[in-house]
Amino acid sequence: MHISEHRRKQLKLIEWIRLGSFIGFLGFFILILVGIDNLLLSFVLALVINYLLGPIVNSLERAGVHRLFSTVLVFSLGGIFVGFGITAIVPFLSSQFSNLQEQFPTYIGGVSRLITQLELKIQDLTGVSYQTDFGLEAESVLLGWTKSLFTDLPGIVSQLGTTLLLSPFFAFFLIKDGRLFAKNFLSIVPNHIFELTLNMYYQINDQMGQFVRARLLEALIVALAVWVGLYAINFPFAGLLSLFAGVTNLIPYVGPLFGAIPAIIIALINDSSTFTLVMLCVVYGTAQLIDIFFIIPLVVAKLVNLHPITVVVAMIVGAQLLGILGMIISIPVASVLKVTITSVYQHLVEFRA
Amino acid sequence: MSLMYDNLFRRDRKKRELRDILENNFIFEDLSSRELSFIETLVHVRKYRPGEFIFRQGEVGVGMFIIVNGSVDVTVESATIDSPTDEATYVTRLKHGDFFGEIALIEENGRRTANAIAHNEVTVLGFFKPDLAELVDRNPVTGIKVYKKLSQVLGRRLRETSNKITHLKKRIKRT
Repeated sequence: MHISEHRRKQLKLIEWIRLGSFIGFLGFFILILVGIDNLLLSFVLALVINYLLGPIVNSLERAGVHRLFSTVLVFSLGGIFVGFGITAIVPFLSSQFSNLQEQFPTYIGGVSRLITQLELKIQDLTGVSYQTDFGLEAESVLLGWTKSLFTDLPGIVSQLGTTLLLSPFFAFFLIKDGRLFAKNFLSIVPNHIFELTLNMYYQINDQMGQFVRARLLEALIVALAVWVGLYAINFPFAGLLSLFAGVTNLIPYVGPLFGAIPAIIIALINDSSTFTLVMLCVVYGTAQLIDIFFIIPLVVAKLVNLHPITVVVAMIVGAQLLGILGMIISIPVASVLKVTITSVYQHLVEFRA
Repeated sequence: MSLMYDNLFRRDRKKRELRDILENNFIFEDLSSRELSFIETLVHVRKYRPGEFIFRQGEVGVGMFIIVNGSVDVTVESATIDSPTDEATYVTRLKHGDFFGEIALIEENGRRTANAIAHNEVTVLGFFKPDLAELVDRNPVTGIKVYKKLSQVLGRRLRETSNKITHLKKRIKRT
């Protein structure tokens, strides 16, 4: 079939117009997601729920249950499970939290005392003396922080409430009609990049699903290991500390260290024995060893292999843009970018013989 | 009245047309009405303008296409994809109901062995690897039926190729 040069140029122009419109639409969608309060967080959480419950809905559908019924069933059971979980865990965590709130001034005083002691030791060693009392300054700063934390808490909770209401709602439709959304999204992709985009979309989706499931399972196991250890040595705030360790474990490299810091500070302030300090190191160390030698090789090994430098840079960028949430989602976002860049490169260089 | 009728029933007509195409396609012909409804949710409707490439020779293929409307020219180039297409050899013209590119559903990173170019305004149904994977994941019984049909197509293609090679060898021997 002969195609004239004029027709070829016309088709090329159409391809570019379609590509421009597609990129414009995509940019607009991202802008809305980032621009509207709570929407990005709700969407990210909805994706996480989708990746967690989607496979269960699929297996029910495989057994012959209609997708709508499977989704309703899984969400109802999930709701009951979360409801019971909340009723069981929240009073326990809130009592620990109010206990912590009461004892916070003591802990802040303890931190300030620790800094002053350290300061004196440094002065003794170096012989340099200065006027600023770092311990006192730290105390006033920490008091300011905690005051604002406890006063801002209702606001944070209400914001979280909006997110916690929106995300299951989004997740329900993502699971039930996710296929339709994907199809509608793919229908606006220009013809010349359609197969590439389709392949990339499913590759990214598959990898993200594996990533989210693996990391959450990892966080859960680490939190459980820390909780069992802290409970065994009868350490205070075991529930809150293990929850914190599980969440911070989602941050690569520095996360486990962050997770252990509050427990060590509490032990130092309470003037705990060296044995308790050693036991704390054993608890957090064992949780990390379980993570490194069992969970990572068995569960997380399949994940996108990113270079440590890429991970650190992605985390710094994430932290700058979105704080703690940015640090947690920076790695999946970096993985999406890696898959996208590799696929586009393959399409441009290797796909074409 | 006719306009109103068109607007009201055009969507149904399109759906019916899509169902007819799937029902009469060799790969999906053994499926029940319920299974075909599921396939309908998986396939992608794509439209191409005259002269537009549906796929190019040498590109990694991801799936197959079934022609709903229009006709598709299949051409083969001896040089690479970046060489002018004018030198391509015309192979055949595929019409309504024909399907092509199905080997890509099975092959891992297999490259397209020919160009598929829209001869006129073309509408095709695309069925791709991720769609097949989803079918197997959510509805394995239907997935196996589709795989069985695909293997029959591949077997037939293999037999045809073997016959052609034998025929060519005989011709070479004779000369």
